[in-house]
Amino acid sequence: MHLELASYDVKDVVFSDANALVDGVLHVDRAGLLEHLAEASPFEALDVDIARPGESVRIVHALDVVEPRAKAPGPGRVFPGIMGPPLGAGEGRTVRLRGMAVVGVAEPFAGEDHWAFREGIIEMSGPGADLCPFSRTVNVTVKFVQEPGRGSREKTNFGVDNWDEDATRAIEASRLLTVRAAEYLARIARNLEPDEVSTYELGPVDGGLPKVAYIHHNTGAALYGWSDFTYDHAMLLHPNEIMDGALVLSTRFVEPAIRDCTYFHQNNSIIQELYERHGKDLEFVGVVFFSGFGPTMELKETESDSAVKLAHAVGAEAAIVSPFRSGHSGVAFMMVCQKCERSGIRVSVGVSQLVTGAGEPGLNHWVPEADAMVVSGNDWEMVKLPAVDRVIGGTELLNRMGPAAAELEIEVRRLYGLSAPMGPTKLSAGLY
Amino acid sequence: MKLELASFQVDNVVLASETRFSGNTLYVNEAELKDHLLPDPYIEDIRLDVARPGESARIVNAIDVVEPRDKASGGGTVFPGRLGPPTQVGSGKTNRLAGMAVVGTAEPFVGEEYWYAREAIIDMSGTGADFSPFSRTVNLVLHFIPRPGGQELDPARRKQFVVDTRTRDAENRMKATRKLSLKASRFLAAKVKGMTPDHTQAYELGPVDPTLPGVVYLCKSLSSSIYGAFSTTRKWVVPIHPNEMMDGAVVNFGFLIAANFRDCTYAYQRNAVVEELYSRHGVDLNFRGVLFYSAFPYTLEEKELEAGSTVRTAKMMGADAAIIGPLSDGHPSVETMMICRLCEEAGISTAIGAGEMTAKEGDPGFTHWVPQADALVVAGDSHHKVALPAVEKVIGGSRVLHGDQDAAGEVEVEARQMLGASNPAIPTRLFGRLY
Repeated sequence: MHLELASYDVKDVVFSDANALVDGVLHVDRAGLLEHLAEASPFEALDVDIARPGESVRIVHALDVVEPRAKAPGPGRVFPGIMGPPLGAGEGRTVRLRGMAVVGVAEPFAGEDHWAFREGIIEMSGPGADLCPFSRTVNVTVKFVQEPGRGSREKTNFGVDNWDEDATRAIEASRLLTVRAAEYLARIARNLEPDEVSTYELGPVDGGLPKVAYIHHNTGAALYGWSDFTYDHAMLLHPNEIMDGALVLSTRFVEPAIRDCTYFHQNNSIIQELYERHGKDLEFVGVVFFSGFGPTMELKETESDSAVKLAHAVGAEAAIVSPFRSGHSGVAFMMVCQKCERSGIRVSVGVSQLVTGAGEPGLNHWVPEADAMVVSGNDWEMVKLPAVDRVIGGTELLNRMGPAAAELEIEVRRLYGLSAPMGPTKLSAGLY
Repeated sequence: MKLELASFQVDNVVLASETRFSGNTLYVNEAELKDHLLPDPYIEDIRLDVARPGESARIVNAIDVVEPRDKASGGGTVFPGRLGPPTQVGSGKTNRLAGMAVVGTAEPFVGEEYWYAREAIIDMSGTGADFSPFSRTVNLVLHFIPRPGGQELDPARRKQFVVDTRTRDAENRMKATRKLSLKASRFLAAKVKGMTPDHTQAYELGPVDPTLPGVVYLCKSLSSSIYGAFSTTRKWVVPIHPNEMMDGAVVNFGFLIAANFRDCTYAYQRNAVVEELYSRHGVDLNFRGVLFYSAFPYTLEEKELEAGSTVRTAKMMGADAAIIGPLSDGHPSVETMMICRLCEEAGISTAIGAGEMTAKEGDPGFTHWVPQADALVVAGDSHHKVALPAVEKVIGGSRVLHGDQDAAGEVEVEARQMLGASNPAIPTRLFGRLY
């Protein structure tokens, strides 16, 4: 599998009458973009806006974040399975707009039974901007507006992501429109000369290098548009598939701090690092993809066995297992670590911590074999954010967190992408 | 992963007062075996019988066929997920009773709308014996008598074209026969624990000359459950080590497939393709593993999803070539051909194991075909007419469902009613020839 990634640097985005990329400034025909989205939109209204690094702007109710990408002229689409047949990811040439992102935003949809995890804040300046990777990208926001009617409710029961069919359809539509906007923007650049072209291929390397697999724990991605996995068998993926849009945020929302948005899959730091070192001090043998959502011990056993088995099938001697999550899948995750170590695969683990008080272990499950951890921050630290001039996405924060433009004192886990171990985050942990 | 398969050759099975293995004969105490299997919530009684090669005997209404096996070491149980926790198998030592099989039979249950795929015949002699690999094994037949009652099928459902329509009660009874056949097999093989096998063979995919072509087996698993999980919604390929398959991780537990193609448990335990690839591993090829695709999807998009995942995974496992199969009919044949095409496009050479379906002279014999499918190994034709002679003994019922014929008399069926007649995964005697 051979992928050519042509990067175009974007320093700023402006709305204009015609589409163009000139000297790093992306000119976007606002009406053209809205029209292109409206063709596939079930929403009453759509709105687009721009948020730039350093501005006194706060984006709230963020859903997915996507880097603009398109396939080079020819057959095939990016985000296969959502935008076209589920084939072709990871091969050919893909263009990307580097330095910017598309952010989907919406108030909770009709029939959505939302909880605090639904809120996702991107702060474009101030202390919050130091914590959020999307404070450093120029963001084109797409807001999905429904006609007023049956409202949403704040969730009171303990059911993950409870909502009805209407809400599910709305969320699916928002996902499609976000990637559609991303493809539209990237197509503006695809006939121009790129700033950089990188190729990705797991070519043959010196046989003596240690073989490393990336065991990717799926916590909320749709693979080729599908998220109704059967929770019993892991899968083998080529890293190029993941980089090229095979994984897109599903309709399931985890906490914004660790939400695996599409942007993180497209730019997975672990894949980047392993590719970087492929042929130098290791051999990158592929990605094992497992969910671990299975609610029974038997399913956890089978799925963790299958993940480890696949790592062996591609000859892994070491593995990066990441990201760790709480709940059922955290248990399956640790079983994978344990079974890897016991069968001769050395593992290192990427986690974000969940320390609710001093002295807490920070993980809901742990095995002694998980002795090499890379921690990307503690989600429960508090942060004070100053009032902002402008808010995109809504006027009130969800779940009674207050007016969206006001000064806030919140847990850092409300900040989008703050501690996702596959994102380019700024946090780390020190052991005392 | 290294598996040692210790074979105990069984030349005869005899019902006796004690269950033991001695002098290549397996003695089975009926009461002891029944005590081990019963009571069961769905099965009231079991009748035991033995059918030997060459006898004037016919088995009808067969459901699954299993080779008796038991783990001697290496942890876990054979048939994991069905007879115990889904602990990984495929390592250590497993005892097998070679030359025999356990055959589960049952007459149609209350609430079962049976179609042609329900019938499965094994003839132990005569012309019919050429149509089943199980005519050459000594068969211990477990005929299951269900508990009475059970919900009748809603007449509205009868009219639908649904594969294997039956009520929950009938389904439960069907599953019980499968589970008890597995359990009986383990029980019998456990009797040789500690004894010296006739021969032992080790299976391990050790490192080989890296210049040898990598070969994967893309196995269609239409009615199999893997580690106890039977899924009709899976859209992703399941990679598995061939040793796991040999060791009972894959069993027949889903739909009833036409008898000639039916992927009975025996076809996974002693898969002819796996055996062949193992025997040539390191000689002229590098056996990279087995990938199961379900071929269940009904929509084009889901077919592309599963086919795509199959081919990409094969490529990542280092495949230069793939054996695909078995090709049968219906939706799965479309996906099998799609996999063939995508493989060839990705630079993986393919060979397909197929059963033909030539309803009339001049028929192409396949429901779907792509030009890339240029290497087909045909294991026989489903619609070949078979005239079976009268027999002295019938096991498993008194009627042949196909045409409601007297099972002891002369019977006319098609090859697709003969168990294992043209499944390319088990050693069959049929083949096709190009004229």
